[in-house]
Amino acid sequence: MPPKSKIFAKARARLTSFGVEVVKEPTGQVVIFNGGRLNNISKSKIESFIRTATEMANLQMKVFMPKKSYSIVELQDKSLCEILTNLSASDSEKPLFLQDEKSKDVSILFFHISSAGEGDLEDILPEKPEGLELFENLISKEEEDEIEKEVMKKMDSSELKHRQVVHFGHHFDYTTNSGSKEDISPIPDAIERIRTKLVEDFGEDFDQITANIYTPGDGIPPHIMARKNDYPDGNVRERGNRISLTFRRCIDDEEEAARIIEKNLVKDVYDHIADDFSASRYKMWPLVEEFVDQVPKDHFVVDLGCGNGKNLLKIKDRGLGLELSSNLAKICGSRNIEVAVGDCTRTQLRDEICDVVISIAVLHHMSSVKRRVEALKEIGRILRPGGKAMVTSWAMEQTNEEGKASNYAKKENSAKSPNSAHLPIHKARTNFEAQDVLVPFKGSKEGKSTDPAAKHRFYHVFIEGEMKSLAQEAGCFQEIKEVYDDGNYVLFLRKSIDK
Amino acid sequence: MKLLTHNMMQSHVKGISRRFPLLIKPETVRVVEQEFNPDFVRRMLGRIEYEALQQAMTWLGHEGKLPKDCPSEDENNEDILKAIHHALLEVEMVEGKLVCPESGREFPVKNGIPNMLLNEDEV
Repeated sequence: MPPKSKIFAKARARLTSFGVEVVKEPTGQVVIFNGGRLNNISKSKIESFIRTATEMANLQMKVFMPKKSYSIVELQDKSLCEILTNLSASDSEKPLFLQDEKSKDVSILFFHISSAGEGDLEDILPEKPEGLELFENLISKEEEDEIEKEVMKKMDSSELKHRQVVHFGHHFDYTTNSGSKEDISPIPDAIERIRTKLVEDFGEDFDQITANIYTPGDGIPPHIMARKNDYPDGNVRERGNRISLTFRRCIDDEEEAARIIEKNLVKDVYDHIADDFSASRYKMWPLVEEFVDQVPKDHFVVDLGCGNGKNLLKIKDRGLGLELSSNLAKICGSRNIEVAVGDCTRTQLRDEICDVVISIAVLHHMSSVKRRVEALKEIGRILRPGGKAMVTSWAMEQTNEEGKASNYAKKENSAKSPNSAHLPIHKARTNFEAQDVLVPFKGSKEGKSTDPAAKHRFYHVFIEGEMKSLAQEAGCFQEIKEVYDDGNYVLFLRKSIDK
Repeated sequence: MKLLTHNMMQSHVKGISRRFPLLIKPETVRVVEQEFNPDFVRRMLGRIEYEALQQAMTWLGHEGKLPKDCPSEDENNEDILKAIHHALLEVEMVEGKLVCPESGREFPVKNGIPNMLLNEDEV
């Protein structure tokens, strides 16, 4: 074993290389060389060692454990620091030991220090609880400012004791401790960026964010700031707002998420915009008109998702519309169009009752693959054998001004269900950035809503061949043809004659 | 709601075996003349449940105008076809209720529009 002075010199050199400044006089801070996280020494081991050595069973101390082979202890009483350094003083015979996680003895040394190194103690957090992952510098100062701005903007009257709370995504309900299925608010970009980072790190798609805001003086009991550099100039600095963000996953079930999307972002929105929407949708789309005009005069037509009924106007006496939005159904009623309020995946119609089904610009509002297939199966169920259907949906590939389909790289068709709390908002006359998007409804001239969020509708825009493969999956059609027309995919289907 | 529509609807409430016909509890009924399309009426004769149509007419207080037995799809008697036309397309329930024959679940009809939406726990 080398002489103690040599061991001491080596230890000092190591600590100096970490920026830890060893001094002779006690400062209130002591470094424990070899007593760090890299030596597999726990905080409780250090605390109990010091309590035993000082013979003070209830001694309060702060232990800082950087990811290094040392830790730092802060003690109020400088004389206690001396007790520790004396234990490992060069004239002492026996080396000191701490037991590591595997009960192996680790030889340790104590020194007084004037600088904790590595940017000082302020940057060294006390040892974290087990299982906790720490992501340092996840957000920049600029992001912090942006988040504070967004949160303060939204801060409402929901005042809890000593703090204020705002929610993004699904509103958090404190009576049930779960997320609201109806009350969903958009996630601001600044917070969304963090959410995306966390989703990448955890693989969990958070849909609820709670921001707790503690304004200066709120929520924190009077305390002494004991760290060395808290008041470097001897002045007390004014504390700003303290904001903590909690990320949660509220809606776990994919089908439930799909239902929430269709209720909040399809049905409710159409109910809200029904009049404006109807005023802007008076003309039949030429391809639909052509199809309807070809239906023989004795055939019965069902329109699934009939909207304001424009596609049934010409065949009122032999057509039936089904519409999810009761306000749109009312408009049909006022135009003497036969209509029922219903869900096109569960029409409550009898089997094989109609000759023709049309479903125009409806399938793109269905928010899961399962629901899309169900809707197509339902068409097959209510059609007589050999009956025909026309189904149209928005295409991801939108036409440009020359009328040609834009040929940007097609994205992989995502099988994942969309997050009910976060969907990108589509900008008019741009390419779709994702297949699951929110599309704002621009009202007619007087469409000045005070509630812009209520006008976003959910769309799943289709890529080439996607609708066709869904129709194949539905398994009840003998003919399936998909064509592209003016920013839409159109399916022409014929129900199989043999069952 | 026309009786053709009624004849094409059934209850999809879960866990029941008798889905059709939906019982009708009328509050307001009206008759609206419609253009007569004999080909369509003939075609619908092969599609509808005739007994349910007779029953529906009774519920709406218009019994006795339909032939006792269901005419065939090549029926040429205009009076008979017009009686069917009248029942299918001209007699409407404006206000009232449709009732699932087994579960008793009620579907309201308002301004002539039945609301057939089911809750999540009903399907």
